[in-house]
Amino acid sequence: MKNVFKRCMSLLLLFDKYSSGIDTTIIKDNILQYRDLSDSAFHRSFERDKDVLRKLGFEINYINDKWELNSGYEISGVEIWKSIKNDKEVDSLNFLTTYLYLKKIITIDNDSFLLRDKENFFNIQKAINQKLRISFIYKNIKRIVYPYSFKLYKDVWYLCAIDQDKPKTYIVNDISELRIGNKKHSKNLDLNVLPTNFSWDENSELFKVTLELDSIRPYYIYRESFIHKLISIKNIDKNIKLQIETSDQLGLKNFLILTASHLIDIETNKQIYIESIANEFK
Amino acid sequence: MNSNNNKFKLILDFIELVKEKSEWDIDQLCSLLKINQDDFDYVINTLSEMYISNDFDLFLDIEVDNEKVKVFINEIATSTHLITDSDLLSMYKILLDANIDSLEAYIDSEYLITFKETIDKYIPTKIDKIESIQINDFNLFEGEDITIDYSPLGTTSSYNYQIKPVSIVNNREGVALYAIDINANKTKTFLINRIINISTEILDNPNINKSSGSKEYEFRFTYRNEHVPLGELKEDDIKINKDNTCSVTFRNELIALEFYKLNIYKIKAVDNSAFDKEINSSLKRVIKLINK
Repeated sequence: MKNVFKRCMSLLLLFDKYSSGIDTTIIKDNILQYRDLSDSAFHRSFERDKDVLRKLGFEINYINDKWELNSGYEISGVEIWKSIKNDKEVDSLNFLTTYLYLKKIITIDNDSFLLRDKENFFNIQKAINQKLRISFIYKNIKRIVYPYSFKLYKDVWYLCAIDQDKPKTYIVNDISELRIGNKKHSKNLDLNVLPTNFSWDENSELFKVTLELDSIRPYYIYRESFIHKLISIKNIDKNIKLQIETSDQLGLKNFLILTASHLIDIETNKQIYIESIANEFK
Repeated sequence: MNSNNNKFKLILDFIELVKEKSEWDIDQLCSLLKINQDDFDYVINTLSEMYISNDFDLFLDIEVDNEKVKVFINEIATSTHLITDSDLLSMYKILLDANIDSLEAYIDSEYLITFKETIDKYIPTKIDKIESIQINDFNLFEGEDITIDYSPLGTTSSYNYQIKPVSIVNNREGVALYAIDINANKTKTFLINRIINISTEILDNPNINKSSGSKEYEFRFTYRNEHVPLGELKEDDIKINKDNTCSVTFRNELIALEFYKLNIYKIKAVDNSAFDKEINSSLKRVIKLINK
Protein backbone atom coordinates (compact mmCIF):
# COMPACT_ATOMS: atom_id res chain seq x y z
CA MET A 1 0.00 0.00 0.00
CA LYS A 2 2.93 2.32 0.66
CA ASN A 3 3.59 2.40 -3.11
CA VAL A 4 0.06 3.68 -3.70
CA PHE A 5 0.60 6.40 -1.06
CA LYS A 6 3.85 7.38 -2.75
CA ARG A 7 2.25 7.66 -6.18
CA CYS A 8 -0.79 9.54 -4.83
CA MET A 9 1.38 11.93 -2.82
CA SER A 10 3.54 12.53 -5.88
CA LEU A 11 0.40 13.24 -7.92
CA LEU A 12 -0.80 15.80 -5.35
CA LEU A 13 2.59 17.53 -5.40
CA LEU A 14 2.81 17.43 -9.17
CA PHE A 15 -0.63 18.97 -9.71
CA ASP A 16 0.29 21.77 -7.34
CA LYS A 17 3.28 22.67 -9.53
CA TYR A 18 1.06 23.41 -12.53
CA SER A 19 -1.62 26.06 -12.46
CA SER A 20 -3.41 24.75 -15.59
CA GLY A 21 -4.17 21.32 -17.02
CA ILE A 22 -1.40 18.76 -17.45
CA ASP A 23 -1.34 15.87 -19.90
CA THR A 24 -0.45 12.26 -19.29
CA THR A 25 3.06 12.69 -20.75
CA ILE A 26 3.95 15.20 -18.04
CA ILE A 27 2.42 12.96 -15.36
CA LYS A 28 4.32 9.88 -16.60
CA ASP A 29 7.63 11.71 -16.99
CA ASN A 30 7.51 13.32 -13.56
CA ILE A 31 6.51 10.40 -11.39
CA LEU A 32 9.16 7.77 -10.97
CA GLN A 33 6.77 4.87 -10.29
CA TYR A 34 4.90 5.51 -13.58
CA ARG A 35 7.90 6.18 -15.79
CA ASP A 36 8.93 2.63 -16.66
CA LEU A 37 5.40 1.31 -17.15
CA SER A 38 3.92 0.52 -20.56
CA ASP A 39 1.18 2.91 -21.71
CA SER A 40 -1.63 0.54 -20.79
CA ALA A 41 -0.10 -0.31 -17.38
CA PHE A 42 0.42 3.41 -16.70
CA HIS A 43 -3.21 4.20 -17.56
CA ARG A 44 -4.50 1.38 -15.33
CA SER A 45 -2.30 2.53 -12.46
CA PHE A 46 -3.19 6.22 -12.94
CA GLU A 47 -6.94 5.42 -12.99
CA ARG A 48 -6.61 3.39 -9.76
CA ASP A 49 -4.68 6.21 -8.06
CA LYS A 50 -7.24 8.79 -9.23
CA ASP A 51 -9.91 6.61 -7.63
CA VAL A 52 -8.01 6.42 -4.31
CA LEU A 53 -7.66 10.21 -4.34
CA ARG A 54 -11.34 10.67 -5.26
CA LYS A 55 -12.36 8.61 -2.23
CA LEU A 56 -10.29 10.96 -0.09
CA GLY A 57 -11.98 14.02 -1.62
CA PHE A 58 -9.48 15.04 -4.32
CA GLU A 59 -11.08 15.20 -7.77
CA ILE A 60 -8.80 14.78 -10.79
CA ASN A 61 -10.69 15.46 -14.01
CA TYR A 62 -9.79 16.07 -17.61
CA ILE A 63 -10.74 19.63 -18.62
CA ASN A 64 -11.44 20.29 -22.28
CA ASP A 65 -10.55 23.79 -23.38
CA LYS A 66 -12.06 24.67 -26.74
CA TRP A 67 -8.95 26.67 -27.74
CA GLU A 68 -6.73 23.74 -26.70
CA LEU A 69 -4.63 26.08 -24.57
CA ASN A 70 -5.31 24.68 -21.12
CA SER A 71 -6.69 21.22 -21.81
CA GLY A 72 -5.48 18.51 -19.50
CA TYR A 73 -6.00 17.03 -16.04
CA GLU A 74 -6.74 19.39 -13.17
CA ILE A 75 -7.21 18.75 -9.49
CA SER A 76 -9.96 20.25 -7.32
CA GLY A 77 -11.56 19.65 -3.93
CA VAL A 78 -9.40 21.72 -1.57
CA GLU A 79 -10.86 25.19 -2.16
CA ILE A 80 -11.92 25.82 1.46
CA TRP A 81 -8.59 24.92 3.04
CA LYS A 82 -6.80 26.90 0.34
CA SER A 83 -8.95 29.96 1.14
CA ILE A 84 -8.33 29.56 4.88
CA LYS A 85 -4.56 29.35 4.32
CA ASN A 86 -4.63 32.46 2.14
CA ASP A 87 -6.81 34.47 4.52
CA LYS A 88 -4.56 36.59 6.72
CA GLU A 89 -7.40 37.14 9.20
CA VAL A 90 -7.70 33.43 9.98
CA ASP A 91 -5.26 31.58 12.24
CA SER A 92 -4.85 28.43 10.15
CA LEU A 93 -3.03 26.48 12.89
CA ASN A 94 -5.85 27.22 15.32
CA PHE A 95 -8.42 26.15 12.74
CA LEU A 96 -6.49 22.96 11.92
CA THR A 97 -6.13 21.94 15.57
CA THR A 98 -9.84 22.72 16.10
CA TYR A 99 -10.76 20.52 13.13
CA LEU A 100 -8.52 17.69 14.36
CA TYR A 101 -9.96 18.01 17.88
CA LEU A 102 -13.50 17.67 16.47
CA LYS A 103 -12.38 14.77 14.27
CA LYS A 104 -11.20 12.95 17.41
CA ILE A 105 -14.72 13.12 18.83
CA ILE A 106 -16.88 13.05 15.72
CA THR A 107 -16.45 10.15 13.35
CA ILE A 108 -16.91 11.37 9.80
CA ASP A 109 -17.05 9.60 6.51
CA ASN A 110 -17.34 11.26 3.15
CA ASP A 111 -20.89 9.90 2.75
CA SER A 112 -22.01 12.24 5.55
CA PHE A 113 -21.92 15.01 3.02
CA LEU A 114 -24.82 13.32 1.15
CA LEU A 115 -24.21 14.71 -2.29
CA ARG A 116 -24.13 12.51 -5.36
CA ASP A 117 -22.18 15.03 -7.36
CA LYS A 118 -19.70 16.80 -5.13
CA GLU A 119 -17.99 18.37 -8.14
CA ASN A 120 -21.17 20.36 -8.92
CA PHE A 121 -21.27 21.64 -5.35
CA PHE A 122 -17.63 22.73 -5.37
CA ASN A 123 -17.92 24.36 -8.80
CA ILE A 124 -21.00 26.32 -7.72
CA GLN A 125 -19.17 27.33 -4.55
CA LYS A 126 -16.32 28.62 -6.72
CA ALA A 127 -18.83 30.53 -8.89
CA ILE A 128 -20.38 32.15 -5.78
CA ASN A 129 -16.97 33.19 -4.44
CA GLN A 130 -15.81 34.57 -7.79
CA LYS A 131 -19.19 36.19 -8.64
CA LEU A 132 -19.71 34.17 -11.82
CA ARG A 133 -22.99 33.33 -13.53
CA ILE A 134 -23.82 29.66 -14.04
CA SER A 135 -26.07 27.66 -16.34
CA PHE A 136 -27.45 24.15 -15.85
CA ILE A 137 -30.29 21.83 -16.75
CA TYR A 138 -32.94 21.47 -14.05
CA LYS A 139 -36.17 19.56 -14.55
CA ASN A 140 -35.37 19.39 -18.29
CA ILE A 141 -35.14 23.19 -18.62
CA LYS A 142 -31.97 25.20 -19.11
CA ARG A 143 -31.50 27.82 -16.36
CA ILE A 144 -29.07 30.72 -16.35
CA VAL A 145 -28.76 32.06 -12.82
CA TYR A 146 -26.71 34.16 -10.42
CA PRO A 147 -25.86 31.85 -7.48
CA TYR A 148 -25.53 33.37 -4.01
CA SER A 149 -25.96 30.75 -1.31
CA PHE A 150 -26.52 27.14 -0.30
CA LYS A 151 -29.26 26.01 2.03
CA LEU A 152 -29.32 22.78 3.99
CA TYR A 153 -32.80 21.57 4.80
CA LYS A 154 -33.71 18.09 6.07
CA ASP A 155 -30.51 16.54 4.72
CA VAL A 156 -30.85 18.05 1.26
CA TRP A 157 -28.49 20.71 -0.09
CA TYR A 158 -30.22 23.45 -2.09
CA LEU A 159 -28.75 26.18 -4.26
CA CYS A 160 -30.23 29.67 -3.82
CA ALA A 161 -29.88 31.80 -6.94
CA ILE A 162 -31.40 34.72 -8.81
CA ASP A 163 -33.23 33.47 -11.90
CA GLN A 164 -34.72 36.23 -14.11
CA ASP A 165 -34.62 38.66 -11.18
CA LYS A 166 -36.43 36.27 -8.81
CA PRO A 167 -34.76 34.36 -5.95
CA LYS A 168 -35.24 30.62 -6.43
CA THR A 169 -34.04 27.35 -4.89
CA TYR A 170 -32.78 24.23 -6.67
CA ILE A 171 -31.86 20.77 -5.31
CA VAL A 172 -28.10 20.52 -5.96
CA ASN A 173 -28.31 16.77 -6.62
CA ASP A 174 -30.79 17.40 -9.47
CA ILE A 175 -28.57 19.90 -11.31
CA SER A 176 -26.95 18.57 -14.48
CA GLU A 177 -24.77 19.93 -17.28
CA LEU A 178 -23.40 22.68 -15.07
CA ARG A 179 -21.44 25.38 -16.89
CA ILE A 180 -19.66 28.29 -15.25
CA GLY A 181 -19.35 31.70 -16.90
CA ASN A 182 -15.98 33.35 -17.26
CA LYS A 183 -16.90 37.00 -16.66
CA LYS A 184 -17.46 38.51 -13.23
CA HIS A 185 -20.97 39.90 -12.78
CA SER A 186 -21.73 43.07 -10.86
CA LYS A 187 -25.05 42.04 -9.31
CA ASN A 188 -25.40 42.88 -5.64
CA LEU A 189 -25.98 39.50 -4.00
CA ASP A 190 -25.93 40.35 -0.31
CA LEU A 191 -26.57 37.18 1.64
CA ASN A 192 -27.99 39.16 4.55
CA VAL A 193 -30.67 40.73 2.36
CA LEU A 194 -31.56 38.01 -0.13
CA PRO A 195 -34.16 35.43 0.91
CA THR A 196 -33.49 31.70 1.09
CA ASN A 197 -37.06 30.53 1.51
CA PHE A 198 -38.09 27.89 -0.97
CA SER A 199 -39.55 28.85 -4.33
CA TRP A 200 -42.73 26.98 -3.41
CA ASP A 201 -42.91 28.73 -0.07
CA GLU A 202 -45.19 31.48 -1.46
CA ASN A 203 -43.38 34.26 0.34
CA SER A 204 -43.28 32.23 3.53
CA GLU A 205 -46.85 32.44 4.75
CA LEU A 206 -46.60 32.43 8.53
CA PHE A 207 -48.64 30.00 10.62
CA LYS A 208 -49.30 30.77 14.26
CA VAL A 209 -50.16 27.58 16.07
CA THR A 210 -50.97 26.88 19.70
CA LEU A 211 -50.58 23.24 20.69
CA GLU A 212 -51.47 21.50 23.92
CA LEU A 213 -49.63 18.24 24.50
CA ASP A 214 -49.82 15.70 27.33
CA SER A 215 -46.10 16.21 28.05
CA ILE A 216 -43.02 18.05 26.77
CA ARG A 217 -41.38 14.81 25.60
CA PRO A 218 -43.09 14.41 22.16
CA TYR A 219 -42.24 18.02 21.33
CA TYR A 220 -38.65 17.53 22.40
CA ILE A 221 -38.26 14.31 20.39
CA TYR A 222 -39.86 15.56 17.15
CA ARG A 223 -39.03 19.26 17.33
CA GLU A 224 -36.43 18.94 14.58
CA SER A 225 -38.99 17.58 12.10
CA PHE A 226 -39.99 21.18 11.28
CA ILE A 227 -38.45 24.63 11.21
CA HIS A 228 -40.20 26.89 13.67
CA LYS A 229 -39.87 29.51 16.32
CA LEU A 230 -41.01 28.60 19.80
CA ILE A 231 -42.78 31.70 21.14
CA SER A 232 -43.81 30.43 24.54
CA ILE A 233 -44.12 27.29 26.59
CA LYS A 234 -46.46 26.96 29.60
CA ASN A 235 -47.43 24.20 32.03
CA ILE A 236 -51.18 23.67 32.30
CA ASP A 237 -51.83 21.11 35.05
CA LYS A 238 -50.03 18.04 33.74
CA ASN A 239 -50.05 19.25 30.13
CA ILE A 240 -47.94 21.81 28.30
CA LYS A 241 -49.06 24.56 25.95
CA LEU A 242 -46.73 25.66 23.15
CA GLN A 243 -47.05 28.73 20.97
CA ILE A 244 -45.25 28.23 17.69
CA GLU A 245 -44.67 30.26 14.53
CA THR A 246 -43.67 28.50 11.35
CA SER A 247 -43.57 28.83 7.58
CA ASP A 248 -42.67 25.17 7.18
CA GLN A 249 -46.17 23.84 6.41
CA LEU A 250 -45.00 20.42 5.35
CA GLY A 251 -42.84 20.01 8.44
CA LEU A 252 -45.71 21.11 10.70
CA LYS A 253 -48.03 18.52 9.14
CA ASN A 254 -45.41 15.84 9.75
CA PHE A 255 -45.03 16.98 13.35
CA LEU A 256 -48.80 16.82 13.96
CA ILE A 257 -49.04 13.27 12.55
CA LEU A 258 -46.05 12.18 14.66
CA THR A 259 -47.44 13.63 17.89
CA ALA A 260 -51.17 13.00 17.24
CA SER A 261 -51.63 10.56 20.14
CA HIS A 262 -50.22 13.18 22.56
CA LEU A 263 -52.19 16.17 21.24
CA ILE A 264 -54.90 17.62 23.47
CA ASP A 265 -55.70 20.79 21.55
CA ILE A 266 -54.71 22.67 18.37
CA GLU A 267 -55.48 26.26 17.43
CA THR A 268 -54.29 27.70 14.10
CA ASN A 269 -54.82 30.99 12.32
CA LYS A 270 -55.44 29.24 8.98
CA GLN A 271 -58.68 27.37 8.36
CA ILE A 272 -57.58 26.23 4.91
CA TYR A 273 -54.94 24.15 6.61
CA ILE A 274 -57.40 21.36 7.45
CA GLU A 275 -58.11 20.64 3.79
CA SER A 276 -54.47 20.60 2.78
CA ILE A 277 -53.43 18.33 5.63
CA ALA A 278 -55.94 15.68 4.59
CA ASN A 279 -55.73 15.93 0.82
CA GLU A 280 -52.01 15.77 0.28
CA PHE A 281 -51.52 12.12 1.03
CA LYS A 282 -54.70 10.50 -0.17
CA MET B 1 -13.57 4.79 4.35
CA ASN B 2 -11.30 1.75 4.49
CA SER B 3 -8.30 1.52 6.77
CA ASN B 4 -5.73 2.12 4.00
CA ASN B 5 -7.45 5.35 3.13
CA ASN B 6 -7.53 6.22 6.84
CA LYS B 7 -3.77 5.69 7.00
CA PHE B 8 -3.23 7.93 4.00
CA LYS B 9 -5.54 10.55 5.51
CA LEU B 10 -3.53 10.38 8.73
CA ILE B 11 -0.33 11.04 6.77
CA LEU B 12 -1.95 14.02 5.02
CA ASP B 13 -3.16 15.44 8.37
CA PHE B 14 0.35 14.95 9.78
CA ILE B 15 1.91 16.85 6.86
CA GLU B 16 -0.58 19.71 7.25
CA LEU B 17 0.27 20.01 10.97
CA VAL B 18 4.02 20.07 10.42
CA LYS B 19 3.58 22.59 7.63
CA GLU B 20 1.98 24.92 10.18
CA LYS B 21 4.74 24.39 12.76
CA SER B 22 7.96 22.48 12.08
CA GLU B 23 8.77 21.41 15.65
CA TRP B 24 6.33 19.47 17.84
CA ASP B 25 6.25 17.51 21.09
CA ILE B 26 5.56 13.97 19.93
CA ASP B 27 2.92 13.51 22.65
CA GLN B 28 1.07 16.63 21.57
CA LEU B 29 1.16 15.59 17.93
CA CYS B 30 -0.07 12.08 18.79
CA SER B 31 -2.87 13.52 20.90
CA LEU B 32 -4.01 15.86 18.10
CA LEU B 33 -3.97 13.05 15.56
CA LYS B 34 -5.47 10.54 18.04
CA ILE B 35 -2.67 8.03 17.43
CA ASN B 36 -0.32 5.95 19.59
CA GLN B 37 3.47 5.55 19.36
CA ASP B 38 3.18 2.66 16.86
CA ASP B 39 1.04 4.76 14.51
CA PHE B 40 3.48 7.63 14.91
CA ASP B 41 6.40 5.35 13.93
CA TYR B 42 4.38 4.14 10.94
CA VAL B 43 3.80 7.74 9.76
CA ILE B 44 7.48 8.64 10.16
CA ASN B 45 8.67 5.49 8.35
CA THR B 46 6.22 5.95 5.49
CA LEU B 47 7.15 9.61 5.05
CA SER B 48 10.87 8.79 5.14
CA GLU B 49 10.34 6.26 2.35
CA MET B 50 8.31 8.77 0.36
CA TYR B 51 11.15 11.23 0.62
CA ILE B 52 13.65 8.67 -0.66
CA SER B 53 11.45 7.60 -3.56
CA ASN B 54 10.47 11.04 -4.74
CA ASP B 55 12.86 12.21 -7.39
CA PHE B 56 11.43 15.40 -8.73
CA ASP B 57 11.89 17.54 -5.66
CA LEU B 58 13.23 17.22 -2.16
CA PHE B 59 10.06 16.73 -0.21
CA LEU B 60 10.84 16.62 3.51
CA ASP B 61 13.46 16.00 6.14
CA ILE B 62 12.54 14.49 9.51
CA GLU B 63 14.49 14.54 12.78
CA VAL B 64 13.16 12.62 15.76
CA ASP B 65 14.93 13.48 19.00
CA ASN B 66 13.58 11.89 22.21
CA GLU B 67 10.27 13.64 22.81
CA LYS B 68 10.41 16.05 19.91
CA VAL B 69 10.04 15.80 16.17
CA LYS B 70 11.27 18.36 13.63
CA VAL B 71 10.05 18.23 10.05
CA PHE B 72 11.38 20.48 7.30
CA ILE B 73 9.33 20.61 4.13
CA ASN B 74 10.32 22.09 0.79
CA GLU B 75 8.41 24.92 -0.86
CA ILE B 76 6.35 22.79 -3.24
CA ALA B 77 5.05 20.54 -0.49
CA THR B 78 4.32 23.60 1.67
CA SER B 79 2.04 25.09 -0.94
CA THR B 80 0.11 21.84 -1.56
CA HIS B 81 -3.28 21.67 0.15
CA LEU B 82 -4.20 18.36 1.71
CA ILE B 83 -7.38 18.95 3.75
CA THR B 84 -10.30 18.35 1.41
CA ASP B 85 -13.56 20.24 1.09
CA SER B 86 -15.38 16.91 1.49
CA ASP B 87 -13.82 16.35 4.91
CA LEU B 88 -14.55 19.87 6.10
CA LEU B 89 -18.09 19.91 4.74
CA SER B 90 -18.90 16.45 6.14
CA MET B 91 -17.91 17.74 9.57
CA TYR B 92 -19.80 21.01 8.97
CA LYS B 93 -22.95 19.15 7.92
CA ILE B 94 -22.85 16.95 11.04
CA LEU B 95 -22.63 20.10 13.19
CA LEU B 96 -25.59 21.61 11.36
CA ASP B 97 -27.63 18.37 11.40
CA ALA B 98 -27.12 17.84 15.10
CA ASN B 99 -27.71 21.52 15.83
CA ILE B 100 -24.69 23.19 17.39
CA ASP B 101 -26.67 24.13 20.51
CA SER B 102 -27.37 20.44 21.17
CA LEU B 103 -23.74 19.47 20.62
CA GLU B 104 -22.54 22.00 23.18
CA ALA B 105 -23.57 19.48 25.83
CA TYR B 106 -20.90 17.12 24.50
CA ILE B 107 -18.16 19.28 23.00
CA ASP B 108 -16.54 22.52 24.17
CA SER B 109 -18.51 25.27 22.41
CA GLU B 110 -15.34 27.21 21.54
CA TYR B 111 -14.27 24.46 19.12
CA LEU B 112 -17.75 24.22 17.58
CA ILE B 113 -18.03 27.97 17.07
CA THR B 114 -14.49 28.40 15.68
CA PHE B 115 -15.04 25.62 13.17
CA LYS B 116 -18.52 26.70 12.09
CA GLU B 117 -17.74 30.40 11.83
CA THR B 118 -14.61 29.75 9.79
CA ILE B 119 -16.42 27.49 7.30
CA ASP B 120 -19.34 29.97 7.16
CA LYS B 121 -16.89 32.51 5.71
CA TYR B 122 -16.16 30.35 2.69
CA ILE B 123 -19.41 28.47 2.10
CA PRO B 124 -22.29 30.92 2.06
CA THR B 125 -24.90 28.71 3.71
CA LYS B 126 -28.19 29.83 5.18
CA ILE B 127 -29.44 27.83 8.11
CA ASP B 128 -33.07 27.80 9.14
CA LYS B 129 -32.91 27.79 12.89
CA ILE B 130 -34.73 25.08 14.76
CA GLU B 131 -35.55 25.84 18.37
CA SER B 132 -33.47 23.88 20.81
CA ILE B 133 -33.93 23.13 24.45
CA GLN B 134 -30.74 23.53 26.44
CA ILE B 135 -29.47 20.50 28.26
CA ASN B 136 -27.19 21.01 31.23
CA ASP B 137 -23.67 21.81 30.17
CA PHE B 138 -21.43 18.74 30.32
CA ASN B 139 -18.26 17.92 28.53
CA LEU B 140 -18.83 14.23 28.03
CA PHE B 141 -15.50 13.25 26.68
CA GLU B 142 -13.59 13.54 29.92
CA GLY B 143 -14.09 9.84 30.58
CA GLU B 144 -16.84 10.24 33.18
CA ASP B 145 -19.78 7.78 33.40
CA ILE B 146 -23.13 9.50 33.06
CA THR B 147 -26.81 8.67 33.09
CA ILE B 148 -28.97 9.71 30.15
CA ASP B 149 -32.73 9.80 29.86
CA TYR B 150 -33.20 8.52 26.32
CA SER B 151 -36.20 7.96 24.11
CA PRO B 152 -35.40 5.15 21.63
CA LEU B 153 -36.56 5.43 18.02
CA GLY B 154 -40.17 4.51 17.40
CA THR B 155 -41.42 5.52 20.83
CA THR B 156 -42.02 8.63 22.91
CA SER B 157 -41.31 6.79 26.17
CA SER B 158 -37.90 7.34 27.71
CA TYR B 159 -35.53 5.18 29.73
CA ASN B 160 -32.37 5.65 31.78
CA TYR B 161 -29.06 4.39 30.49
CA GLN B 162 -25.80 4.52 32.42
CA ILE B 163 -23.16 5.09 29.76
CA LYS B 164 -19.54 5.97 29.05
CA PRO B 165 -19.40 8.19 25.91
CA VAL B 166 -16.88 7.18 23.24
CA SER B 167 -17.49 9.45 20.24
CA ILE B 168 -20.07 11.15 18.09
CA VAL B 169 -21.04 9.36 14.88
CA ASN B 170 -23.36 9.98 11.97
CA ASN B 171 -25.39 6.88 11.16
CA ARG B 172 -28.42 6.33 8.91
CA GLU B 173 -30.75 7.55 11.63
CA GLY B 174 -28.91 10.81 12.34
CA VAL B 175 -26.14 12.20 14.52
CA ALA B 176 -25.63 9.95 17.53
CA LEU B 177 -23.60 9.50 20.68
CA TYR B 178 -21.61 6.26 20.49
CA ALA B 179 -21.18 4.96 24.02
CA ILE B 180 -20.72 1.89 26.22
CA ASP B 181 -23.99 0.92 27.93
CA ILE B 182 -22.53 -0.04 31.31
CA ASN B 183 -25.42 -2.24 32.44
CA ALA B 184 -25.69 -4.11 29.13
CA ASN B 185 -21.86 -4.15 28.81
CA LYS B 186 -21.93 -3.35 25.10
CA THR B 187 -21.57 -0.35 22.82
CA LYS B 188 -24.72 1.36 21.55
CA THR B 189 -25.64 4.50 19.66
CA PHE B 190 -27.99 7.11 21.13
CA LEU B 191 -29.42 9.74 18.80
CA ILE B 192 -28.45 13.18 20.07
CA ASN B 193 -31.86 14.72 19.44
CA ARG B 194 -33.60 12.01 21.49
CA ILE B 195 -31.49 12.39 24.63
CA ILE B 196 -33.90 14.13 26.94
CA ASN B 197 -31.67 14.67 29.94
CA ILE B 198 -28.12 14.07 31.08
CA SER B 199 -26.90 13.68 34.62
CA THR B 200 -23.72 12.66 36.39
CA GLU B 201 -25.82 10.99 39.10
CA ILE B 202 -25.81 7.20 39.07
CA LEU B 203 -29.38 6.16 39.83
CA ASP B 204 -30.08 3.31 42.28
CA ASN B 205 -33.34 2.26 40.62
CA PRO B 206 -33.10 3.39 37.02
CA ASN B 207 -36.06 3.08 34.67
CA ILE B 208 -34.38 0.61 32.31
CA ASN B 209 -35.69 -0.33 28.84
CA LYS B 210 -36.44 -4.04 29.09
CA SER B 211 -37.86 -4.45 25.57
CA SER B 212 -34.49 -5.02 23.94
CA GLY B 213 -35.46 -8.19 22.05
CA SER B 214 -37.39 -6.81 19.07
CA LYS B 215 -38.01 -8.41 15.70
CA GLU B 216 -36.66 -6.88 12.49
CA TYR B 217 -39.37 -5.42 10.26
CA GLU B 218 -39.27 -5.06 6.49
CA PHE B 219 -41.23 -2.01 5.37
CA ARG B 220 -42.40 -1.90 1.74
CA PHE B 221 -43.33 1.38 0.05
CA THR B 222 -43.53 3.35 -3.19
CA TYR B 223 -42.56 6.99 -3.76
CA ARG B 224 -45.51 9.39 -4.08
CA ASN B 225 -43.87 11.50 -6.80
CA GLU B 226 -40.21 11.33 -7.63
CA HIS B 227 -37.38 9.59 -5.81
CA VAL B 228 -36.35 12.00 -3.06
CA PRO B 229 -33.91 11.60 -0.16
CA LEU B 230 -35.50 9.96 2.89
CA GLY B 231 -33.71 11.41 5.91
CA GLU B 232 -30.30 9.88 6.49
CA LEU B 233 -31.09 6.72 4.48
CA LYS B 234 -28.53 6.06 1.78
CA GLU B 235 -29.39 4.52 -1.57
CA ASP B 236 -27.76 1.25 -0.51
CA ASP B 237 -30.17 0.95 2.43
CA ILE B 238 -33.18 0.84 0.08
CA LYS B 239 -33.86 -2.44 -1.74
CA ILE B 240 -35.73 -2.22 -5.06
CA ASN B 241 -38.12 -5.17 -5.43
CA LYS B 242 -39.12 -6.95 -8.66
CA ASP B 243 -42.54 -5.23 -8.63
CA ASN B 244 -40.74 -1.82 -8.47
CA THR B 245 -41.70 -1.24 -4.86
CA CYS B 246 -38.94 -0.37 -2.36
CA SER B 247 -38.08 -2.03 0.96
CA VAL B 248 -36.11 -0.99 4.00
CA THR B 249 -35.45 -3.25 6.99
CA PHE B 250 -35.76 -1.64 10.42
CA ARG B 251 -34.82 -2.94 13.86
CA ASN B 252 -38.51 -3.21 14.78
CA GLU B 253 -42.01 -2.33 13.59
CA LEU B 254 -42.31 0.83 15.72
CA ILE B 255 -39.20 2.32 14.12
CA ALA B 256 -40.63 1.52 10.66
CA LEU B 257 -43.92 3.23 11.57
CA GLU B 258 -42.12 6.32 12.85
CA PHE B 259 -40.05 6.43 9.64
CA TYR B 260 -43.31 6.23 7.64
CA LYS B 261 -44.86 9.10 9.60
CA LEU B 262 -41.73 11.21 9.13
CA ASN B 263 -41.84 10.66 5.37
CA ILE B 264 -45.60 10.45 4.88
CA TYR B 265 -45.62 13.15 2.20
CA LYS B 266 -42.88 11.44 0.20
CA ILE B 267 -43.80 7.73 0.33
CA LYS B 268 -46.83 5.44 0.56
CA ALA B 269 -46.88 2.05 2.32
CA VAL B 270 -47.72 -0.95 0.14
CA ASP B 271 -50.32 -3.49 1.35
CA ASN B 272 -49.94 -2.43 4.95
CA SER B 273 -53.35 -2.13 6.59
CA ALA B 274 -51.90 -1.75 10.11
CA PHE B 275 -49.84 1.30 9.13
CA ASP B 276 -52.70 2.78 7.04
CA LYS B 277 -55.02 2.40 10.05
CA GLU B 278 -52.52 4.13 12.34
CA ILE B 279 -51.99 7.00 9.89
CA ASN B 280 -55.74 7.47 9.39
CA SER B 281 -56.33 7.49 13.11
CA SER B 282 -53.59 10.14 13.63
CA LEU B 283 -54.98 12.19 10.78
CA LYS B 284 -58.58 12.02 12.10
CA ARG B 285 -57.41 13.13 15.52
CA VAL B 286 -55.51 16.12 14.10
CA ILE B 287 -58.44 17.19 11.91
CA LYS B 288 -60.92 16.77 14.77
CA LEU B 289 -58.81 18.97 17.03
CA ILE B 290 -58.43 21.68 14.38
CA ASN B 291 -62.16 21.52 13.52
CA LYS B 292 -63.50 21.64 17.06
